[in-house]
Amino acid sequence: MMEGKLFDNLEKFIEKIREIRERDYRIDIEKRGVELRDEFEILDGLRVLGVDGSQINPLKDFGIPFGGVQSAGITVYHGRGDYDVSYKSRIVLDTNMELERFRLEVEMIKSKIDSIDYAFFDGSLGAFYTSELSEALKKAYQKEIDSLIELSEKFEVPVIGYVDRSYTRDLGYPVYDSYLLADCLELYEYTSPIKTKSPLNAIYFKSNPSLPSRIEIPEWCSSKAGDIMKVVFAECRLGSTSGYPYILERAHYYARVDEREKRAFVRLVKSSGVSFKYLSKVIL
Amino acid sequence: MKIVRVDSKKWFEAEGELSIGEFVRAGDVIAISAEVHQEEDEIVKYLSKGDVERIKAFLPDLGEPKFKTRFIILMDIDGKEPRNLPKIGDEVEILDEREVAEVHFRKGKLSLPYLPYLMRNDRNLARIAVLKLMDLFPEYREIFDVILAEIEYSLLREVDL
Repeated sequence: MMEGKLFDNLEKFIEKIREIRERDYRIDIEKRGVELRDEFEILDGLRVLGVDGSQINPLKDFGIPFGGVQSAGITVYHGRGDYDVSYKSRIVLDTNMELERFRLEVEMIKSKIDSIDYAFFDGSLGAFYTSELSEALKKAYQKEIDSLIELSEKFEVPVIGYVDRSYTRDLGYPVYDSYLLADCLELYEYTSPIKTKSPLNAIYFKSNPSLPSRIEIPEWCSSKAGDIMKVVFAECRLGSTSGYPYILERAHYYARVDEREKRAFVRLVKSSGVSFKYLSKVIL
Repeated sequence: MKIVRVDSKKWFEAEGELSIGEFVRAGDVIAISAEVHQEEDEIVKYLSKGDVERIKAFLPDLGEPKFKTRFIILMDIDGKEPRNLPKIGDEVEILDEREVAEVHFRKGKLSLPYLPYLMRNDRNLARIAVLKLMDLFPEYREIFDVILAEIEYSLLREVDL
């Protein structure tokens, strides 16, 4: 504990940061590089799925705490000029919105897994094994992920969690892994799979000149890491910024609930339901 | 093609591409195609990835560039000043030669109530319209020649000699 205001102790704060930065970090991981090949050649003939979700948060003014979640899945048949977009949605009442959204996203991958070669999920799957959620919530997430990994192994389809900006510390240092590795990796280099506290292994991949992104893959497909990273590289090259997977860019595009849809949703609910809040005011 | 935007009493826009100077009917009004433009589409962001054919094969869900046509409202279907604007979603029907002739011939006379407005606002379009009508009404050729001369003269006046 320090005496005085936090502001008065700024110097100690800076000292601490300097001390952390100057520590000797020995990172014992192998660096690998993606053989720079034509992204079109890598993806030709592959069926790649991208999944993302969105939500309308509970509309408290209607007196019932309900909202909506939806997930979108786009399957692109690279090289064939063909694609397919599908949606799943659910009205959420009195349950955790994020969990329900996650469930729909997982459902989307499960429903397509027997007809694709690779699945991209926007975000971390492993985080739910280490996060500070309640035990019950953590278990609910883990149940979903375990069943997804089981299916992924059964159909031999890698499910790839893509985290653009990761704040995980699997390397055991007080600094976030991605910051630690930022200067070690050159563009399109990646680390060998790193064991985590979840049934997924992590790979850090420098897809753009800034921080490396975190790629999570089920343990069973770690031996396929080279092939998976080729696909991740190719998808990133196709993206509009050349640093984020095209397939997730498009999944995000289809998943979003835009303002017009939100307004229409609220208007519909308003016109078809009774506001208990309004009723209680009238009765009182 | 359908109306996607109504700008004013005189202008509306429809999806799709139509050549300049086509007479159309939309709702209760007669209009003429005046401008065509291409919307910047999402595919534009990806053009650096390769040629369009390759993009279509590997990034197939990107929307094709869309064209829109802007129309000038000329009159209502009775040849009068329009009272009701066309609505978004209304179908735009291209008039064939017979229909164009019909809407320009009322009570035994040639009727072009919109011509002064068109000549003030878009002389080139006015010239295209007049040349079309000249073919449909050869018996009024002398009148159309006078109008065309007036259009040419007003165009010349614009040139800084």
